[in-house]
Amino acid sequence: MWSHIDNWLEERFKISIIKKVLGKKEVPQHSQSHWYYFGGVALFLFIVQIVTGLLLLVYYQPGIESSHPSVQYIMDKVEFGWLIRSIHSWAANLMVLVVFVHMFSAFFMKAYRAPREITWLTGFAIFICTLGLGFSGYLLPWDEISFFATKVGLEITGAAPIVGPFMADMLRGGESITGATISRFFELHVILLPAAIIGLLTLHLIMVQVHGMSKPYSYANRPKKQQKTISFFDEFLFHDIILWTMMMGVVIFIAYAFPWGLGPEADTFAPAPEGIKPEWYFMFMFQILKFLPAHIGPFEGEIFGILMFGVGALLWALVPFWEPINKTTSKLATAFGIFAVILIVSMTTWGYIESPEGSLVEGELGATGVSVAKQDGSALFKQNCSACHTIGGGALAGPDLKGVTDKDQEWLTQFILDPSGSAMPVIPGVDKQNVQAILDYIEIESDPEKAAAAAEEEKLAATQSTKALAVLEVKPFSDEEIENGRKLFTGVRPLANGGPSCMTCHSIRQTEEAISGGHLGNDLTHVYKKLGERKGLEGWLASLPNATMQPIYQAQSLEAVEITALIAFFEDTTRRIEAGELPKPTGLPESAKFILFGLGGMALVLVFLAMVYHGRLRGVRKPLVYGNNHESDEGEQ
Amino acid sequence: MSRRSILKALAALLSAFWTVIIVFPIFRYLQRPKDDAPQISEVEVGPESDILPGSSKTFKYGKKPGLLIRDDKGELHAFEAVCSHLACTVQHRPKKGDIYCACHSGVYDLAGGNVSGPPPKPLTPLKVAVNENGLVVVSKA
Ligand code: FES
Repeated sequence: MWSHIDNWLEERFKISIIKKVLGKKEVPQHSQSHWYYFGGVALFLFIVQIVTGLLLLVYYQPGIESSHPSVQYIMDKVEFGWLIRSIHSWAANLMVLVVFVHMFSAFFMKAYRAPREITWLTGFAIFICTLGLGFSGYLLPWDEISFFATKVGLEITGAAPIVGPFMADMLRGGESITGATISRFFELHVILLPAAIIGLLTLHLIMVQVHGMSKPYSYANRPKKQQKTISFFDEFLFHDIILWTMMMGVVIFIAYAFPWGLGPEADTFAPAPEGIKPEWYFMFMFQILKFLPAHIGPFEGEIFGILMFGVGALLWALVPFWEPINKTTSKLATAFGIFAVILIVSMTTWGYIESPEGSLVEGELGATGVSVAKQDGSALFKQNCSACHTIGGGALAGPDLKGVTDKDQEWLTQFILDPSGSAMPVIPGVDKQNVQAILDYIEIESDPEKAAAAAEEEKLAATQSTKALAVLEVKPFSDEEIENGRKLFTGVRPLANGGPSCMTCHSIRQTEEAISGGHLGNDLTHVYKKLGERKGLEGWLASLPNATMQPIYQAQSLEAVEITALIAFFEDTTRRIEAGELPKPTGLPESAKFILFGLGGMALVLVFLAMVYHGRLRGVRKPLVYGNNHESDEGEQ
Repeated sequence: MSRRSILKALAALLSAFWTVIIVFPIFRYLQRPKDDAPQISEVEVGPESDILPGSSKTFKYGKKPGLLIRDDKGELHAFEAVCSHLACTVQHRPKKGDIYCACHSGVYDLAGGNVSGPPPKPLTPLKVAVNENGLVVVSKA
């Protein structure tokens, strides 16, 4: 039967011809031949990217509302989702690294020389596309860091002379980064750039077949007999496969051991967080730009820098055309290459050594806030803080703030502007002046004398924004209240004032089967403890002060009964957890064990395979392959 | 055993490992995570007095559309508004006094029985009750 199939295939595809060509193909063997493998590894990583990318596309939803939650969903809910995303991110970085190495090795081995100019040029174009993939992919999870990195990157693009502003606007889809930017980057990342790479790669590979592997001069100038080679089919390919397998193992291992994280969702109005830096492969450019003086000759420093990058890249790409043609090595091009390597390595290192905050993003905190009228502070406090804090009235969900202004003011301001990492939400639309007003208000209120003086005025303002809260006695909730809370949470019973039910955005592990709602909001299993039990929750639910919820529930606030019922429900959840009625959240997913087991098994087989194969080399081919190969190859570079 | 056959066997083993290592996670990944939303057991549709004889109301019954109808005799009926033919959402036609599926012109009577057209079965009925607050509560029949 096999021969039938063989014949059928042979008639259609002429496999024997391909076999013959491949069988004849030889790979030069010399002291630098290990560099030949990097191209194959880059190709392999590109395939990994395509496969994992296609998988991510199954769940990823580009859009300002959906990008971040959908990535979160992939990582939290989809089995192996965390791994696949982590592989995609890690393999992306490795691919950039390997493409760099491949390109530089080709440069130093002068593999670009005639007749291989097209191979070199397509390779260079692939390199640019790879960087583009990295840049565009970085934005897609729409987390804080990616947002600001993209912002800065586009700002620099925009500073380039003549084409800059046009290109930046084109990429951004307007003047600032919005949902339109996500769409554009998404298209670039999943369609245009991959398609371009596939096209270029095809040409690149055809060219490699047409011209064969390039030989360094020192090798090509040897007498024919001393030009050792190995066969492409099977030896080189075998090495390739072993290498690819190992590479896959490495990628999976890194992805498993250092899972790629996801930052908090980008907030286009929030100040830039600390530690914003570009991806490592752009670092040297940023560092150089930073380091340039404000003016160089007639140019602005930055524009001059960008111009220089352009000229440098052009020289690099066109090296086969300007390099002095002779049959020896060209010192000029080599010197250029060495200069580039030194520049890139040193600038990158420097960039990382310097304070991690970097100064890429100019602090836009502006002038210190002018003290705003006291009433403003009072109103702001009522609106945003009083749900969880009192001044001298004891702790609610948050601590009592009496006297808090004795602390470092700057720290406080920073914390209120960006309380990430604590349970406190960001105050919607807050700026430095608001914060100052709030702090002034707290300071006055904390001081009994001043407070008394202000009390008069206070009385007037006090009436307007206080909300009648459900009075909670310290007695257990009835089953009916708990059940009512459950219904409200899941939406079986709609909220009286028409807000969306909790489950639209939140999940909770309340029964054996988790109630799995939306993923926009946090899991609420532990909310009871986190927000300060009955009293704290009451305040919270009465005003729902976080940035996403406030605009929704301001006009559709919860009724007192509803608040009580929800508190009852949350309290009951906590009781159940403490009584051990609920299953503990599981730790590492089963999938992780599977990966470890697989990696272990694979490593074992690989070791065996290598041992046996090497045994074969020694036995059969030793004289051929290792015959007198240990003579010194004089430096090719 | 010759080297060659050992080599072949190992290569086969390696490929098998790889296939499992790669295919299994992908297979699991592609299965949409189990949707562990609670099974909706009952839904409060609204005040009973809102639904006049000959009128109807659509509502969400879990992830499916539901249809609540009061016939001319004043009796309440509730169904999953999913056509038994090819699952289009059906509609109440007050003028004709029937339930109609526009996809292939299927017709049901107000009790959910299939009358004409392609539908092979009646609509899936739901239980209707009125609770102490005067709200219509629909639950699984
Ligand atoms: S789906 Fe309703 S008639 Fe075909």
